[in-house]
Amino acid sequence: MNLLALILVPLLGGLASLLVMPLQRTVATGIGLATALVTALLALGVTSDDAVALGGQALVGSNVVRVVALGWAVGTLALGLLEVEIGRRRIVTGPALLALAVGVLALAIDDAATSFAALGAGGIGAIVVPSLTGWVHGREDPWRLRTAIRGSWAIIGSSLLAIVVVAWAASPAGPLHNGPPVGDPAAKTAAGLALLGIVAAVVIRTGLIPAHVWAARFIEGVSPLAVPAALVWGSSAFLLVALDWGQVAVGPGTQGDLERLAITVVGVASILLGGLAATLHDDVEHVLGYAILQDMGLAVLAFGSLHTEAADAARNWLVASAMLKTALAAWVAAARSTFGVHRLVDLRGWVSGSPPLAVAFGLIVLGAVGLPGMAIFSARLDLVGGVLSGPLGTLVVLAAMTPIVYLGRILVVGLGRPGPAVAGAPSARPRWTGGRAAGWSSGSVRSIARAMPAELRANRAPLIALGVVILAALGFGVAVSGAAA
Amino acid sequence: MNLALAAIALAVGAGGVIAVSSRDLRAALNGLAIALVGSTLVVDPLPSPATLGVRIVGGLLVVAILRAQLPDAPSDVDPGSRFGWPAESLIACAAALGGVGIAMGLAATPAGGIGAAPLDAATVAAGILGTATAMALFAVGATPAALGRSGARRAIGLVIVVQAAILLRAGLAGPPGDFEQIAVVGLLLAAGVAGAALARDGEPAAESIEEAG
Repeated sequence: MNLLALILVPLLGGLASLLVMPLQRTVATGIGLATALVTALLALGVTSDDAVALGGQALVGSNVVRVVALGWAVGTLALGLLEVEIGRRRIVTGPALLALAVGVLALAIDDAATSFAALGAGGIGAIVVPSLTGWVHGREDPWRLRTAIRGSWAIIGSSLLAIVVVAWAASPAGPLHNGPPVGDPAAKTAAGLALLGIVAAVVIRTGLIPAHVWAARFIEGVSPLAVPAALVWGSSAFLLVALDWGQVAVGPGTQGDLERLAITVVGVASILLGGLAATLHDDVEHVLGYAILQDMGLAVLAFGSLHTEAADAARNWLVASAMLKTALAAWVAAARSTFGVHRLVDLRGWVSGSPPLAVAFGLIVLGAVGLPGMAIFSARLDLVGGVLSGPLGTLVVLAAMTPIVYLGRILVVGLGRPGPAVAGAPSARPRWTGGRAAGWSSGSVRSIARAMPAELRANRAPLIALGVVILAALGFGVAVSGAAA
Repeated sequence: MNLALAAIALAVGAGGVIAVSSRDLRAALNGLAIALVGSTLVVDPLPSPATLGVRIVGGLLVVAILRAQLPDAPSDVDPGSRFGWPAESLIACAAALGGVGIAMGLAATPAGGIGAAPLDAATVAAGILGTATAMALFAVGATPAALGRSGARRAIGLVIVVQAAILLRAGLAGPPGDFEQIAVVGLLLAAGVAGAALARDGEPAAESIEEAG
């Protein structure tokens, strides 16, 4: 029942938040934040023993379901709180909760077609709502509607393609009805085609190269706070479902050279070009976008082998990367809010301007790069090692380590002498405005409650930074332990 | 071949053609309603009455949302299909024949499981009809979905393409389970709501049209 509640609570809370938003913005935000909190608490209680039979299908709990639900819910809560402080519009919690509900459903249910249908249904709000109501370049920007339409097509189109591929493979008259092909060349060819079909759906959904244009425009056009639900967690859930299906229907080690080559080229292109673009771009929103692209490119390599080690590595990698990129999105939004700028050249000296943000960023860098012994570090090696070996494999591993360069560059800029934007920013140190001259300990509850809003306003910057630190610490924790166990 | 099933498949195809080619948005939405409701019946065996009810109500809800939310563009802005209904009908027929070919080819493929587990004639017929209808809907819906001249027509095209994929899934792998049917209704509703929201957002406000005029 806990699993069912974990799906129903964010579904109903997200819908309520979306429906109330045009009428009562504050109430809708409150509903969203409360729902995210309850969802996080429910996620803590999910175990591998949770199982519910529903409509002829089974919902089964797992460690991946628990970690994804917990990370996504905490991320939504933190980003929603940051949006209250930072954002002009409220576009985060409602769509994110809807996407979270269907994401948990998709990961827990034992039928891939249902999962893909649910992901298509619940994921579209996370694209359409921010594009239509929270476009930062204004309503007149020609890319706003175009991006919303392309993004909708990507979400729905990828789900439809995946549904058709799954149906073809499962068809009683289809080539994979009796399970993964063994020995039969015609069945192997069919399995290869099915695998390429599902990888094509993954490429479209996650915005990998060459289907990255809509995703790049989306990240440029919306608040960074809206990016994780649309492109990080939603894409990760889609990829995880596709990977589970691939392991069962196609089977490990059945891919031909051509399929493996195609998957490797798509993955490596996204790793190389994503890392390069993140390194060359000067604004932090672009760095976030291309870092996400690079993460997805690495995860897609798991389809090249479909072995248990590669699949487990992809699970660890995706969940840890999703958590870290949620923290990075929060960091980007917090830095922009605190210093009022988003280009690296203007962020000079940001470390001394906000030490808590520096702590958060340090955790993000450490988590994203990883150290030997950390789950994320091993996952990177296993994913590349599943498809490439020798010098080429080493080169791709090195390319996948470019977070050292593009995140390190931000850190180096931050260690410099503070520029005008940073020097003029509000202090990140906590301070009291003197709202309670008599002292907190001797004041009545009522007077403390009266003084609280002024103190919160005065400590806006440190509170925002604290939220980012918590997210970064969670991300670092998942990067250490992983999610597949 | 079950004649009733064939008649429903024909009605679904006709509904799709009306939805994309009618100049009148109301008539187009009636055609869409026929296509969505009829599509729930092009399967064998039929789902349970409760599930059937959910699918039919879901389909009608999509049409109701589109009816309530879509801006009624003047016919000189949105005259429906560029080709007209006769051409759209021919395109749908050709695609349906292609769908029959795909389904028959799939059933006859030596790599398939058909040899190991023979299917009954009604299921095979429903599969062939479902695949044919899906291809017909896809052929008429894809162009307005991608290149529709108005947001309303793009929304209708999007819903038709989603329905086509769902039909194709049922044609290839048999009727979905109860829970999947609910997920499918969710997908149709999401496509309808998103299509309507994008259409409303893309249309110039009535005042600005009057000012321009």
